Formats: sequence, C-alpha cells, structure tokens
Amino acid sequence: MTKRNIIGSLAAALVASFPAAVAQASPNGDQYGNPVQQETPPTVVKAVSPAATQQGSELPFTGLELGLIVAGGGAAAGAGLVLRRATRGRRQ
Amino acid sequence: MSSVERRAAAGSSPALPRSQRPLSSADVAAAAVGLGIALAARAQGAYGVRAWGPLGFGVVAALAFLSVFGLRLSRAVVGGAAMLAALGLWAVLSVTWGGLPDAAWSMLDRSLLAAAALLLGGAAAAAGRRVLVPAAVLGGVVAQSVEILVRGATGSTPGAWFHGRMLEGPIGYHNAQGLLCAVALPLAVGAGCSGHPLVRAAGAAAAAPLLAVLLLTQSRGALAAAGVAVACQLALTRRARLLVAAALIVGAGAALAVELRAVDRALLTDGPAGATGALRSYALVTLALAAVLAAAGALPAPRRRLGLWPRPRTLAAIAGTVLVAAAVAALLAPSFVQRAHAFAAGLATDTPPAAAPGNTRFTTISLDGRREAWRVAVGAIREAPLTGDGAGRYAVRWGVERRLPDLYILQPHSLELELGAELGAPGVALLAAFLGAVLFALRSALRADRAAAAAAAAAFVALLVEASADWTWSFPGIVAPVLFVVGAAAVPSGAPREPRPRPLLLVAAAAALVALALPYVAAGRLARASSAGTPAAALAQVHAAEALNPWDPDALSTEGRLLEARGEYAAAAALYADAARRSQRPWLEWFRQARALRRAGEVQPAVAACLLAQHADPSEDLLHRGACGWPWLSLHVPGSRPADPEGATRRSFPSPST
Repeated sequence: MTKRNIIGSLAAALVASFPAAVAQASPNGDQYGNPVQQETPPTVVKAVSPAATQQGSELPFTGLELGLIVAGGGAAAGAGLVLRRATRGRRQ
Repeated sequence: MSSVERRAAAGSSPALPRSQRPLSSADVAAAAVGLGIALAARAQGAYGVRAWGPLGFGVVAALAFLSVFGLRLSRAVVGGAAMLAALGLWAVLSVTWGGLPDAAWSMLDRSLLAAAALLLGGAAAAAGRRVLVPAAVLGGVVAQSVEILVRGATGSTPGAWFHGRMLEGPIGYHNAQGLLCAVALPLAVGAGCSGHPLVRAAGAAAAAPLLAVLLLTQSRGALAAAGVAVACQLALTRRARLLVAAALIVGAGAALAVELRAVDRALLTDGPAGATGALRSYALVTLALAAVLAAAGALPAPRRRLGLWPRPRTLAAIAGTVLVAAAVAALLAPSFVQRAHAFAAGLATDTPPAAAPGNTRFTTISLDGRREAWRVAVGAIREAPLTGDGAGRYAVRWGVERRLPDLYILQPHSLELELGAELGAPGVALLAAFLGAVLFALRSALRADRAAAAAAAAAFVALLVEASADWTWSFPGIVAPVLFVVGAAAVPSGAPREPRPRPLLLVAAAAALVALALPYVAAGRLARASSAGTPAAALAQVHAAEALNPWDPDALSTEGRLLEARGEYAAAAALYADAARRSQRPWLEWFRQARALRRAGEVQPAVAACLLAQHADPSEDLLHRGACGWPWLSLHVPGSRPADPEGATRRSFPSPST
C-alpha cells in the first residue's frame, strides 16, 4: 500500500466518522440567549405505587401488540412464499 | 529521474490525458476533505464540543499517522502551530489565578485543533498536494452554499436558518456563515485567474454562490472582510487578470444586491415560509451569474502585471471620478448628506437602526453593543494587564459590569481583546507570535507560488478581520480550513530532504487526542442524560460525564436539577453552588440554588443565594422575580436600571467569595 493510498483511505475514514448532524444548542442562542427566560423549575416527581396508577377495573397492559406481531409474521411468511415461487424455476 | 518517471513512480499515468485518468487516492482525499469541511460547517461550524471533538480527533489522528511515516514541514508552520499550542496551555495555566477550568480546556482543545490543521496543511504541501487543498476547501464551502440556495428555492429551508432578515444558516450565526463564504471567495478568485481555462471557469462560477450566500446573511462584517481580503489578494499578486476578476465579482454583487431587496422585503413581511418565491428568483439570478462568470472566466485574460502604485495620471482620473460622482449624488438626492450623516452616526449608538423592509442591513451601520463589550474588556486589561482575569472569565465580568440589560454575551467580540482580558499580555504576545509565524510562512510562499500564497493570505486576512470584531474564532469549522490552506501554501524551508519521522510530534498528538476525547465523550454522556428514560438512568449518565470532565458546570447543574426533581433540595443547592464557581454565568446557578433552598424552606440561605446572583448580574430584572421574588430583597426597583453604571449600589452586595 503506497503512502498516497494510506492518506486517501485515512481521509475517507475521517469523513465517514464525522457526525453528519449533531444536535446541540445554536451558537447564536448560546452567545446571546437569555438563560433565565428559558429557566423552568424542575417538576418534583414523587414515587407512586403501581396500584395508584390503575384506573377503574382495567388491568395494566403488560404484553405485546398482538396485531403488529401477526401483521409482521404474515408479511414475512408471504415474502418467503413469493421468493420460493419466484426461484422455483431456476432451481429446477 | 525525469518528470515522467517521477510521475510514473508516484502512481499517475503520464500517457493518458488528465480527463481520462482514473481518480487517484489524492483526488479521493481531496474530495473527502471537502466533504468533511462541508459537514463541519453543517454541524454549526463545529461550534460545540460534539462537533469539534470528532473534527479535532480526525485532524490530530491524521497528523499522528503521518508523523509515523515522516513529515517535511516548514519551520514557520511548525513555529505557528507551537505558538497556538502554547496559547492553549497558557489558558490552562490561567486556572491557577481564576480561569474557569472547563473554558480553559475548550480553549486548549480548539488551539490544538487549529495547530493540527496548520501542520496537516503543511504536510499536504510537502507531499506535493498543494493545489488540492484550496480546491478541497473551496469545494466544501461551495457545496454548502449551493445547498442553502437550493433549499431556499424549493421552500425546504429549516426555520432556524433564518432570523428575521438574516440568514443564520447551518452554522447558526449569520456573521460566521458569511465569513465562511468570505474566506472561500479569495480561493475562488485565485482559481478564476488560473492558467487553465476550465479551472478559470470553475473558479469564477464558484464565486457566484459564495457571493449570493454572503449577501443573504446580510453580515456587514463578513462583507467588509471579503472586500479587505480580495483587495489584499490584488495588492499581493498585482495581476491585471485578478483586477478583472475582482471587477466582475463586484458587478455580480451589485446584481445580487438588487435582487436581495425583494428577498429582504419578503422575509420581513411574510417570514421564511412566504419568501420562497423571492428566494427562487434570487437562486435563479445566482445561477445566471454563475454561467456569465464561468463564460467570462474561460476567456483568455490579460497577463499584464500591474505596477505597485497607479500612475499619477490614473490616480488623478480615479480621484476626479469619485469627486464628480459624489457631487452629482449630493445634487440629485438632497437627502444624500443627511443619509450619509445618519449612516455614520450608527457607529456612535448601541441600538442598531432598523432598515425598512427592502432596504437590507447593508444600508445601515451599527456596532450592535460592541462598544460596551469592548469597554468591559479594556477594563479587565487595565486591571490585570500581565495575567488577565483567566480563561472564560470575561463573561463573568460582563454580567457584573454590563450596562446593556438586554445583551447577553460570552466573549468581547474581538479576539485580541478577549485574549488580553482573559490571558493578559502573554496571551496577546502568543497570538502575535503565531501571526508573525504565519506571515513569515506566507512571505516565503509568495516567492514560490505567488497566486496560491496570495489566495491563502487573503483567506487568512478575512478570518482575522472578522475575528477582530466578532467571536468567529470560536468556530473551528471555519478556522481549521483557513489554517489548512495557509499551511498548504507554505514552502518547507531549506534544501529538499527526505521526510523524517517525528516522535515528539507523535507524543504531542497522542496527548492532544486524550485532551480532545474526554470532553467529547463527557458531552455525549450528558446529552444521553437528557433523553434517558428514568431519573436514575439520567443520573448515572451525568455521573459518568462528571467522571470524565469534573469541571463541566453543565453536568453539575444537570445533576442539581435531577436531585431537585427528586425533592433532594439541600444536595441540589450544593451542586448549584459548585456549578456557579465553574460557570461563565454564575448568576444563573446562584438563582437555581436560591430556588432549591426556597423549596426546602431555607429562607435565609435562599436570600444569600439571591444576593449573590444579583451581585453577579445587577442588571438582570429576572433575578428579582420567581425564586428571588421578595419585595424587600431588591436593592433597586425591578424594571429600572442602576442609576450609577459604575455600580455604586453594587458595593453593598456581598462578594461572591463570601
């Protein structure tokens, strides 16, 4: 590997590792923003028992969305069948 | 070895014309660098540690890698980089006499990044890739400018890119966005005067989007910097073709300024969403100008070299024309003199005059509070000329001494004054030594390749002019590309010799990598804390951030807020107090401490915290409300300003150290 190749690969790797979009405060806001205006006191979070969060006679939902699972499984099975049929001719 | 053999040994194919040759790895590297520059500019000019961390890491890592194989560098470039590194280390040392550790660390990292960019440019030049560096930088900036124009024309500009009539752009600050175009403009002009017609056409065409975005930012400082830079480039090269290129660019700027009036009117009356039509017309005019400039650039240009000074007859003709034009303007427009007077009077006021919709900011002039910012900095220099207040301390002083209650700033809007106020005479001396080294490097480069060196010098001048009246030095995404170009223009001193490995540079680079990585990882942890699902998980992330960067006031303050939310007010108050001692805006942390103490029912300590907050920023009305909203506490009536700007009332406040 020549030195030029190394430099080229290195530069490409550098760019690839650079974050395309970095979420952060705007420089303008950081420099000129009034921090007190955005200041809100943190809301006190009290520990609550699970029983207190229940409403009426409904049980809390602790499982998975069955509809999504069935739809995903159906789509996967359908795709498999289509692929199998499409490639049957080639295999024979 | 003949030139053909040398090219063959370097891996190129001399038998094929350039257009038919496959892309070399150097071309790929140049494209990657251009893309990196566009991305860095896209990430708010790498203003935050989350962006300049990886940028610095990449540049320093590349330098470390090359130093293993051996580097041949100009002594002036090495000297300039050493001065920048010394400036960062002096900032760290300033912590011993009052500097804020987190701000000092940031200054060190940014200085190291700038130094590495300078050295990397020098390494590229020594490897014979001098031409590709300005091309890569120019390509990156032009790519971003085109994106801005296309997004404006298609109505897909993010709302945050505009602030009123000004384009803040992806960088998030109109002066910095304008400066990025201003530093690239001399590179486009330089390419526009190349010997190859295609390169000339491409360079001239590139000037159009740069100029269009520069005008769209309505940054007067960036426009002035661009003007000074091109004038400097013209003075250094003294080529007739460059004069023609400059005249064409002025003409293109005038055409764009006419179209800008409609954009300005639309932005102020309908907002960015309603200005799509005007922005589309503006983009189309830019496209047409690019085509005209490309065609003009492709034509053979005069090769004559201009004299150092115009002939007396030419000088008299220019002076006469200017006088006649001024007299005609005064006669035709009776308000011309008054308008000129009002324009100049803008410099004497801190309140920016508002131009009517369609008139753009270029018809007014104002220092926008800089006189006040500079006054506070000069006061700091007078008080501690040898040491300064310490890194990051200017913002603390601004809070105490400011007379403009609506202006919140962190820097005095001048690189020289900032260094003088925070790092004293040694800081200014190190900057001067760095500038001297760069000038020396460019002076030698002018003898080798006058056009390339003049373009690099002009880009550097634009950077320096703007940074002398603004805080744009805080954008590594602008500073690093310019220093990269400057380094590439420099010529290694002495007789040609084999590159040699530089173990010292390798050790320094390894230390720099650690210095860059720690705050970056800590900031990442802190960002994760804000999106953590549970308070416990958020607290764990904050603790990890504090372990990596124990001096970050934001981490301490965030932990304080988390504990305050859990009702642990005493612990939260202690953390806020710690954050106040490390923060550039301590009054905010004292205010938070007062709030936590008041929630805990600790009235007396809460009052003491409020007094500290009010002492740290007597002009802030909001510190007399909310958590500090005791009517008997305020020493001046909320809504009014201290009658004595020197702070006669402030002397009755306790000092922060108590």
